[in-house]
Amino acid sequence: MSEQAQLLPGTLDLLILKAVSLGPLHGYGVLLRIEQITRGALLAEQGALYPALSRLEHQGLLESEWGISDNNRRAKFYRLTAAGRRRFREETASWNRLAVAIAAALSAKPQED
Amino acid sequence: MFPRLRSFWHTFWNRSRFERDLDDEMRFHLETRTGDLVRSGLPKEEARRRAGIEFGCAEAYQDGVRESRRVTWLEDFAQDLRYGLRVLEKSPGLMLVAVLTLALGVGASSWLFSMLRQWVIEAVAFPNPDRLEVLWKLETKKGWNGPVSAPDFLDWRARNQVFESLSAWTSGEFNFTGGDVPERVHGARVSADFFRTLGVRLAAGRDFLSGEDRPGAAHVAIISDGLWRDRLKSELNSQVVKLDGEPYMIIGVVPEDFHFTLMGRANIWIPLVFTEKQRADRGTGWLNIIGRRKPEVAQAALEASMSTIARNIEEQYPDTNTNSGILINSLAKEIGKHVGDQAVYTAFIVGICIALIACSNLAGIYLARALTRRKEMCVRLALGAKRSRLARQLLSENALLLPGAIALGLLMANLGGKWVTSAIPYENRGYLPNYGRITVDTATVLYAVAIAALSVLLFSISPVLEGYRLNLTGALKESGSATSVARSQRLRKLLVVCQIVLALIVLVPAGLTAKSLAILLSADPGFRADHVLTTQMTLPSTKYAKNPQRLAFYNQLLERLRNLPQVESVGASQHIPFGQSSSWLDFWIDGRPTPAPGEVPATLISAATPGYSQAIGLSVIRGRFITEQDGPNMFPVVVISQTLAQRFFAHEDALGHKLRLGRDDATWYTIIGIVKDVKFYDLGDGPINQSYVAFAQVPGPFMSLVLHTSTDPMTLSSALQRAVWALDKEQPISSVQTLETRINNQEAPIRNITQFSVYFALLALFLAGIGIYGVMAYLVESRTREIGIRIACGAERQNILWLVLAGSVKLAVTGISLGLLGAWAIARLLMSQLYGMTTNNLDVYALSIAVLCAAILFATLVPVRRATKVDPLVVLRCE
Repeated sequence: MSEQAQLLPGTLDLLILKAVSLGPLHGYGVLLRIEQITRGALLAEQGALYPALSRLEHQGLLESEWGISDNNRRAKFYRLTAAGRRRFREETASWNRLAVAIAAALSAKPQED
Repeated sequence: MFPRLRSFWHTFWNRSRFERDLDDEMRFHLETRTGDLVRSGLPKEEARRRAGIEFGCAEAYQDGVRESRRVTWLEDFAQDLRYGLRVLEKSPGLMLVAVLTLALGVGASSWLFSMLRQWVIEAVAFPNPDRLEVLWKLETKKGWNGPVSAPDFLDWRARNQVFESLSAWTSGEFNFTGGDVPERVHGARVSADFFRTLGVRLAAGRDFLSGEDRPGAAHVAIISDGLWRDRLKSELNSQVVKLDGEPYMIIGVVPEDFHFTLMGRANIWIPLVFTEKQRADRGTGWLNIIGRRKPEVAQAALEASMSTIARNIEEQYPDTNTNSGILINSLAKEIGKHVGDQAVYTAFIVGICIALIACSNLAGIYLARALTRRKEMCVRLALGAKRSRLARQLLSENALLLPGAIALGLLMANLGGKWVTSAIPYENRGYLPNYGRITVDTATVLYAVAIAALSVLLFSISPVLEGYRLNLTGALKESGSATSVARSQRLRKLLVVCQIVLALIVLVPAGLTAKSLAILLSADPGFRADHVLTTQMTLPSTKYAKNPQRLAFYNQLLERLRNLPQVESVGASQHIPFGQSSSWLDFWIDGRPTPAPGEVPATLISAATPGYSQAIGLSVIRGRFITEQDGPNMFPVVVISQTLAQRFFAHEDALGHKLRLGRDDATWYTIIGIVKDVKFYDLGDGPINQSYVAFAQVPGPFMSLVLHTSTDPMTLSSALQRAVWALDKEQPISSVQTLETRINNQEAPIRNITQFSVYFALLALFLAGIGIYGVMAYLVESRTREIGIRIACGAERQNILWLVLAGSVKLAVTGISLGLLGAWAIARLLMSQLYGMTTNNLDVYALSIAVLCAAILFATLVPVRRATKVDPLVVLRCE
């Protein structure tokens, strides 16, 4: 487990938005989707997902509804709102800019005369 | 913001469901995870354990979820309120004082606001009121304006292209016979398009048709809702009533809320039909004009176009229209003249001043409290509270005062409004918008809430600023560092200065209006006002068509009245002082060159019976008043007033000269006497030309009766009524009033304004006094230690007294000199409105300053006494 990459602080919200942008998911589904799309990058504890989901819903980026899961149980499904979709696009763009900048910075070599 | 509030709300109201959902969601996660792990080959127990470890502490994450749902500022606010309530509970006295002071400020200003709104701002209750204009004939040389003659009006209407419609009207009283007793009803004759000009739709029936104001049209009338309900109580269909003896058919009823303030309490409207004579008479102005401007015409174009028309008429008819222009005023301005909107604006400023004084009082109180709570604030800061959070807390604590203060203030505004209305004589209320009623409506409530919230913000500012300045270490160490005390004292001194300034701004205008009223009431009216009963009546021309009939009726009536017990003397005159009616006639003097057109002098004219001068106490200066010998067949006589005599017969004896009165009358009247001037319209009248002719020689239908009684005049009113009905059962009389009541009604506006301003000034003085007392007491208290040391070192009590007094004298001098500037500015505004005021009003200023100084001294006295009683031993031991 220790070899697996830990999530950077502040990236969880963005990953949740990404996960949910692909289709409505319940909390556990969000976890699985994040593991899948990050190829195994993990939350320190799975419970940390729920305050994050709640916060995003509170901010009006997600909306939730009770439905029936694949294993035929009652589960709470989260879906992106219009505001959530907008925020996801903005965050993605700014993350990409940052990532490019950081990557460029890190790959810079000492200038040789 | 909204989704957050919504989700907060949701969580807040469905707490149990929210908790259940939270549990369910996490349980679903754990169980699904366990299931997945079992499927991957783990034993069931192990899988459950693993899932739990992976999930982490469920309770902690549930807390995290709950935390994420909070709206911090809202919960902080609730917390502040709870805390504030606890603080207030501890000091109920302080809360009471604060709420009362705030209520006084809010009440006074919202009361005056409702007056301003309903009497001035919302005064014109017709559609598109900004296009309604009132037109007057203007005497361009002298700047006078007055009513318009019929031919002028007809020319204006025919020639102008700037008004949609132009209507004439003239107020009148009618003998109304339709109910049980004959009565006098106020009403008006109006052009057929009058209601269309105003934009009023009738509530029932139809409006006048456009031809119904032509000669020969059927007699039709429109009546008020009140008259319809009270007197007719039935369907409109072909109701016929008698007005001045002639039958009129009621065709329409105006809406219940219709009120054209310039007419007063009008209840009946009939078409204004011009006689041939009126159509030809360009010299006599008697019409009021109202017009509706076309929407596309600007004000400037309107005036230019109308003055061109006036110039054309002037060239065409130089004899009557030399120097005649047209004055155009907005309807709002005309109504404002009745209301005295300058005075209302002044009163509104006074209300704001009082609200400000109340604010600064509260600021003083709260500043003192902020100082005592300095330690508490420092502890909170030290424990990590943000300064903005502390400021917010102070604000929300003070906001707790709002509901009580607003409710009390609105109650005050409501009672105040009722009081104002009741102080206005019933007769005068008709000329005020909304009949002088002042109600607390939505706008007033909003204003009160706004002014209260603003006040709380204002008086919270100083303590809050104080909070921002707190120096942690210094303040925690000891009770108050020298610099912070000095700074807060400066603030409190500033507050005292403000209060003195505001109090003076209110005091001086109050003093000026009071002085003006005193001058007005001390003016000699020229007649005896006490023990005089008056009434007015009109004989209908159908019944009393001929002069001898009218003369006989009035002679018989006066004879009957003379024989009533407790009647000293009886007389009648066409017009009496303060009788709300008058006639003017141009006059020419025999043997003098004819004046140029536009220069012909005019005189107030009235036909009087021989007893009139005695009944009203008019003193004769030279010659004699009209007597029995001036009968119908004797040579025509006239009695002139002192002013007329002085103006036209300064170097010769007026007696024996002859006057021609009016354009239509070729008779020469011989001057037989000179009488004292009387104040005719108002106690503030300047000198006016006045003359009296003999009633026996020109008997008209309209007369005012005057009875000089030996007891309370009103006890004779029913005897007077019976005497009239004994002669003619269908003859009504109107407004039986004592002469004193008439004068009081006329002078009521200035009297009321004076009362209000004096009461408000006293209120301001009282509030300022309390504020000054509070601040001085605090200043003395904060110097107790210093004073103790001074006394211990051998200072005399007297020195201490001067020390403290000097402080307040400095404040007083600063406040008074600034206040004088403000008061002077307001006084300048007010001067033009006040009667008998010269520019020299040093006495008023001196008195205001004296009163204020007395109040300041009084407020300082108690704290100063306390200072001189300081016991050095006690003070020094405390340290």
